[in-house]
Amino acid sequence: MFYSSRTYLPPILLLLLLLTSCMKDLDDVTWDTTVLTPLAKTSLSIESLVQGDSSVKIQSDKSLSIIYREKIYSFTSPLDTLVNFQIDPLIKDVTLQSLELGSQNINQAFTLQELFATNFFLSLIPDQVWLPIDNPTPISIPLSPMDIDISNVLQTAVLTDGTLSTSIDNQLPVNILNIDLEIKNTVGQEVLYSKNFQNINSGQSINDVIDLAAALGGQPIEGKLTLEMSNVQFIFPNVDSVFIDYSDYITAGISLTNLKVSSAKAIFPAQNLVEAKDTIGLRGMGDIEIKRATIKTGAVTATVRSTVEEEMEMEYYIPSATLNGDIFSFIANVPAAPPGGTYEFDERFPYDGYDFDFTGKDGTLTNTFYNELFARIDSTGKIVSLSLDDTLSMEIKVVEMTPSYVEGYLGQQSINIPADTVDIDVFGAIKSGSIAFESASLKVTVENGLGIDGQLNFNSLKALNTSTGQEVTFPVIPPFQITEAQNLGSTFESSISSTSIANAETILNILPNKIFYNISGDLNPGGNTPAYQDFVYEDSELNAFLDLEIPLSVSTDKLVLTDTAIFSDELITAPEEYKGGILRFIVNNSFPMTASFNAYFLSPDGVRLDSLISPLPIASATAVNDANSTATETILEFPVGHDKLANILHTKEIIFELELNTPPGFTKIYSTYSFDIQLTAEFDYNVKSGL
Amino acid sequence: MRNLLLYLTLLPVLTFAQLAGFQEEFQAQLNDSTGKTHYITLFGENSFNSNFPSNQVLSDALELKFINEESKQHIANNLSTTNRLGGILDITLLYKAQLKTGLNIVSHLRSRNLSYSSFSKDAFIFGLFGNKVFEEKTATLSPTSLTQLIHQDIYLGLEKTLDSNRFLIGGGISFQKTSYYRSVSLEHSTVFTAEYGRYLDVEMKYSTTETPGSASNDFWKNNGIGAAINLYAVKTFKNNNKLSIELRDIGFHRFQDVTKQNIDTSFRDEGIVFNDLFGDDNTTSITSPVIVSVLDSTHETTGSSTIFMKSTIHLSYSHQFSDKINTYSGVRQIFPVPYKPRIYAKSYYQLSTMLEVGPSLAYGGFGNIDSGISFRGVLFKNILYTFDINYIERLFISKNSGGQGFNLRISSFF
Repeated sequence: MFYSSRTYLPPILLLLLLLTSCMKDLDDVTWDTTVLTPLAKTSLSIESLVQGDSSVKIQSDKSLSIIYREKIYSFTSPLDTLVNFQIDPLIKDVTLQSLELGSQNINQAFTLQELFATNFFLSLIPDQVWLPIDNPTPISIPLSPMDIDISNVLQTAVLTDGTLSTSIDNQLPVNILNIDLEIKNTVGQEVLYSKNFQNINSGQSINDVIDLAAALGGQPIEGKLTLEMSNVQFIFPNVDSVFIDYSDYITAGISLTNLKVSSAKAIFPAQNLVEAKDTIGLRGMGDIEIKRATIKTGAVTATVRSTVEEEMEMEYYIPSATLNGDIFSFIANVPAAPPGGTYEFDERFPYDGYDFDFTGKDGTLTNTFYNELFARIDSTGKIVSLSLDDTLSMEIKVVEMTPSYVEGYLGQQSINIPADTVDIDVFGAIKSGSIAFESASLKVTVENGLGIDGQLNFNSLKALNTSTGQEVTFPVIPPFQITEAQNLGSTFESSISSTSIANAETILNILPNKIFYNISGDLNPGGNTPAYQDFVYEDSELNAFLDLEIPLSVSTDKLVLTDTAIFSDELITAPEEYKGGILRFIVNNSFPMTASFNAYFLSPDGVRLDSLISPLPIASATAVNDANSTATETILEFPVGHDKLANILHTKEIIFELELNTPPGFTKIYSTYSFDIQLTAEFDYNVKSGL
Repeated sequence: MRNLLLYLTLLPVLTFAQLAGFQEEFQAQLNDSTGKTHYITLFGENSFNSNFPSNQVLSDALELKFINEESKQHIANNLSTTNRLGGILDITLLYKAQLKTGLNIVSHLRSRNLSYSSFSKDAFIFGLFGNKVFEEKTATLSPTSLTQLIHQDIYLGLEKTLDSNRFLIGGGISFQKTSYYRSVSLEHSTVFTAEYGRYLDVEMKYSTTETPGSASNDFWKNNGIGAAINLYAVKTFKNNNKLSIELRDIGFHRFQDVTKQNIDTSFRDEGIVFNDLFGDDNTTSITSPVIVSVLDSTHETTGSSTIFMKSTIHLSYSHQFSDKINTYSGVRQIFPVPYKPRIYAKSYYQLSTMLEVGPSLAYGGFGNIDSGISFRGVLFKNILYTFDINYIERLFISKNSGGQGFNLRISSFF
């Protein structure tokens, strides 16, 4: 019997819905897998086990020595301590010493035509003719005063010095019998010059010179002058005839030269207003005598106050300071002061990197240098008012001189070294057990990077083990003579001095973790010998070290080394899909000793969360023949369930412990030995399809 | 990175889990001589198949949410060197109308979700069991690939009958909107697991192409467009026997904004290497050099991309033995996908006008041999239905079967 459509359609639709919903259901399906994966790999040689500042030295037979150096004293930045440059400022408060004006030359010519025009009869004589002469008589010519205007270069000045030169050049065809020449200020009518000249024949000229400042007697000279020529008489020469040429002339020449003023309103020519050349000394140097220095940082500051109404140029030079062959200098522009006011100027000019010669101008001194200062005006073409009453204050300071290198004699100085202790961590990894060294050596080494000889006194040295309370006093070390470093020009080579300390094994047997020291020192104990050969670079250091060398021939008994590794700061949660597994440490040991390996996992707050305890010892290497051995593989398996994994992943710090046991007697360790460790995991993981 | 590696190892399994449906034969329905001038049909296909026995695992997965060791081992024992898996989820609403005698217009709306994968035996085992089973062996994970394509079409075409309705030809054009496309390919990938997992030697040549979004929630998203043509012809012989041939979805998809990623690398993973475990620097980095190596060899680009559509060629023949017995046979190929030409045959026996029933047998496709049972009939005088239950062997030999699915068609003439 068959179903009717009403009965089987609903199941069909239901099946359709079921099948189309299958895919979503599959998203949550899971299944188990077993995964094998490497996690980590490392190789622990003896270099890995040695900590701190230690290093391992490989001998020719591949045996090893631990080399350890601890700095027990350091004298750094010696220039800050040994040298302090103090330099007095160079101050120049000056009034103007002199003011000069430029020369002025004035020539005034009168032509024959102009002279004839002053007389009716003469004016009738035509040009370019031969004029017969018969019994000549003197002829008077009235000439009007003439203005001489030099106000475009000089408006007024009170002279302290100056020369007035006059000249008359007669190029007329007549002889001059008499002429009175007078020059005076047009406004003030002060007479600068007055002179009578006679008998100046045709073609002849005459000159006259006077002290103009004396002639003025303190009266000012004005820029507008009046030239008067009076009582002018001439006569035709006693010849048959003369040739009349209207362009012939007579010239009156005036020359003002060597003008020096106490005040003036004029255009001034270029001239030095200040000129200072001095030697400057370093202060407070005691017995230190510096010959040369390279300056790391420093500057010259210039402070200027001026009432001079003219723009000035300031120049400063230290000829003994050079950089790449160029001397230190600067040129600064000092603008004109406002009328009746003061201009102030403050600038800084660095001289970083310059080499300073402190032997003075002639090279025979110490702690001194030579410098030059100038202030000058240049011709601006403008009329300004200057007076010797104007003031100019200039202060030059050489400041903040910090050297990177000095040379000379650095004096006899004591080095202050406070007693202190330093940590040494060569044995810091040892947690428990015992270790004995077959031999050891200990010495104090001083590396001197200063170009100064000296002496260190080791008053007291002690080795301390603060865990056990043990201490051992070092044997007495005699005063330590330190030779100076070698100067290589731009750098240095430190001198190295050392002395051995007896009974090193006794000191090391307490496995010290601190060294106490009480040290004092002196520089230049013999004075300035050889003379002026001391030097110090800024990176020069004087260091004292404790040097330890331990040949690795040891006997250990349950010696436990520990170290702590910081894990990621991220909090990692063990995945739920992890169902448990096995951690495997696969260790290949080529050391001739057995070992045990444990790891402890600490929470961020230091609580021990879990541990991995070695289920069996790591087997010793076999077939050991000095440096050659055959590694033995040991597989350490640690079951790790989900909870244990959660603890491990929650770890902030892991403490590793390695216990070492050598066979009886001393065992020599070679560079060829190592623990090669691989960490792998085999775990069950539940996979979810909805990725 | 951990997710990427895990994803690659699980790729075949994911494929298995995500594929849906198997496309049953689709034969052009002709507007026969019912006298009606309109025809409408709703067709749905949801099936998947594989060439290995996957049903037991699927059953475990659905019922227990957990694939147990027995199921995993059963699959592992029956995997070929190269395995394939595929599924189709197809829903079509088709409307046909007679414009005039002998000329019909055809249109349809379709949503198609096509997913398929091929993978190596080792890849499947690697994903299901982990790498412990490959200790001191090399797992060859390639060739392995996965493709997912979800698109929606609108189709418009014409049919013309000739020779007194004894010959029909039809054709049309469709336009696609692609909501999601992803292609993953492991071209050459091996993993060697050393004893105790001391190290892993990995060679990986991997490429992906993916549009934005995901297959599950971006049905309405438009990540690309496409166009295709359909062509078909049906010859009707005496006794109403019919021979048909069809070419469908001949065209292309163009994606607007796809991300392509290529990784070509090889490395040995020994875990994190600590050079100074007991050294002064007590901070231990947990950055793996393997991650750096893979990231350095990763090349990623973004841009447009064009692929051919997954097209179908289908040849079928129907023979009417009597008034009560009809048989259908044919061969179908979908390309370019890891699909074997599917040869099928089925018959109907008419029990009543409401119900015809008959068996089917097929070979090929994403799997091998499978069988089914089909029902069809007329309901409420005017509702035609067809319901095919495929891979019916899973009801009897579930453990050794690899497919499941059904086709359902409801149509009406008016």
